[in-house]
Amino acid sequence: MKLCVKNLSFSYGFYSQLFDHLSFEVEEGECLFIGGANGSGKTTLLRILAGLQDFSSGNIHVERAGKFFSRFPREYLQTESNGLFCHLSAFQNLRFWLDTQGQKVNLDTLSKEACEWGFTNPFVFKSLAVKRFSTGMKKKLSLMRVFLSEAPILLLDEPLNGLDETSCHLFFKKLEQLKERKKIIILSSHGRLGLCEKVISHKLFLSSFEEARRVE
Amino acid sequence: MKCSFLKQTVVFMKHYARCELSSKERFFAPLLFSATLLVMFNFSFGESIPRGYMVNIFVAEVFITLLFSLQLSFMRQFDLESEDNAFEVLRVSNVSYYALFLGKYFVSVISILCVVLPSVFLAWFFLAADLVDVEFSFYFYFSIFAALLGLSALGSLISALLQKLSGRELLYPLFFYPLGSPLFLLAQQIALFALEGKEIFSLLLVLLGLDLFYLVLALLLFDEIMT
Repeated sequence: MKLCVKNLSFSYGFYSQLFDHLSFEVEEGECLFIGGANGSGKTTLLRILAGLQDFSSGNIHVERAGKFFSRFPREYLQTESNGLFCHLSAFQNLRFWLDTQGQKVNLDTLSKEACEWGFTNPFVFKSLAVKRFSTGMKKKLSLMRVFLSEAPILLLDEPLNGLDETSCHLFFKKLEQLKERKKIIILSSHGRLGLCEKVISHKLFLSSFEEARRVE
Repeated sequence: MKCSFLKQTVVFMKHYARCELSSKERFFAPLLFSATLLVMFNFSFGESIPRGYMVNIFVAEVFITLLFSLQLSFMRQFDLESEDNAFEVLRVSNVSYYALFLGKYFVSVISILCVVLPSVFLAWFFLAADLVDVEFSFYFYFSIFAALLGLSALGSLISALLQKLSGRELLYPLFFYPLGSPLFLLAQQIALFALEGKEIFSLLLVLLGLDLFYLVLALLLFDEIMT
């Protein structure tokens, strides 16, 4: 299976072309890093891939066993929000998202995963409303949702925002595990690659407006 | 792993029921609003109403109170999804939008019933002395329930439609009142006829037909909104 983007163009009106004829492919078990300065279109590109934003022209599809699919299951981690239900607990949030996907919730697996991400206090994980969580805790919970999902394509927009050093290390470890599970991972960041380098298969740098684009 | 439509509907129902229970102000705000309206109505009428009009006044009080408190309740239908942008995650996720809407709809009907029933009781309580001869048949309560079935579908749809707009407090009544009034007027008339002991069966069928129409329309348009 591979995600193919061909000749993708997007502009906000006539004068602000964000990207033009952008093409790339990501195969299963690969991780694409999208870099670039603020305003270069990283979030817009991920929103387009998530199906949340229309694009001017081009084609996005998944190729699987010689067949092409324009609609495909994916998980999206937003940068500015976490997609959580703030009145519910962390456990209730995770259970809901996994239930909607038909994934059987194993309490032990969830608790183990939660402990790994630093939710060691059962009261905090099972009973405390998410609205009382810090920014980092919300981000970690959101990452848990994405990582536990069985969707084959993961779109992570600025996943390191708000995370502490330990959580960043855990994030990179989890990325490696996801690659082994043959997931297609696309993540964006405005910098701070650090330990991420070794899990990245391809890099795509978006430049603001008319500057050249560089794909490695 | 694929989740069946029915299972997803149940998951959404459970989830929204949990959300309703965890944010109690969503239930108490319309209930207190209804109670306040009813108290104000009854104090302003005082002893001046002729006894022959008591049934009309009772039905009018109940339905006017419901009209305003339902709007208050429906307008907040998708607030939980907006708080942390969960709506967008739902759009990206592999979920059935019909299941999502139906889950929300069923919970909305039940939670609004929890507002409506105490309101009806309170309205009766204020006028109890003058309503001793009136028989509260099953059809009276059923007409209110049937009105809620259609209005909940309409309310949830408009709430989803206006969810992203900044002026939705202003726009909501502009959509809700004109579109909901046929259903509302019919239900009010049926409730009045039921209390007066008149034949209402054919009117009730029309009301249920309207409910079905609103529900199907809401389901189809909700899918459009999400995609």
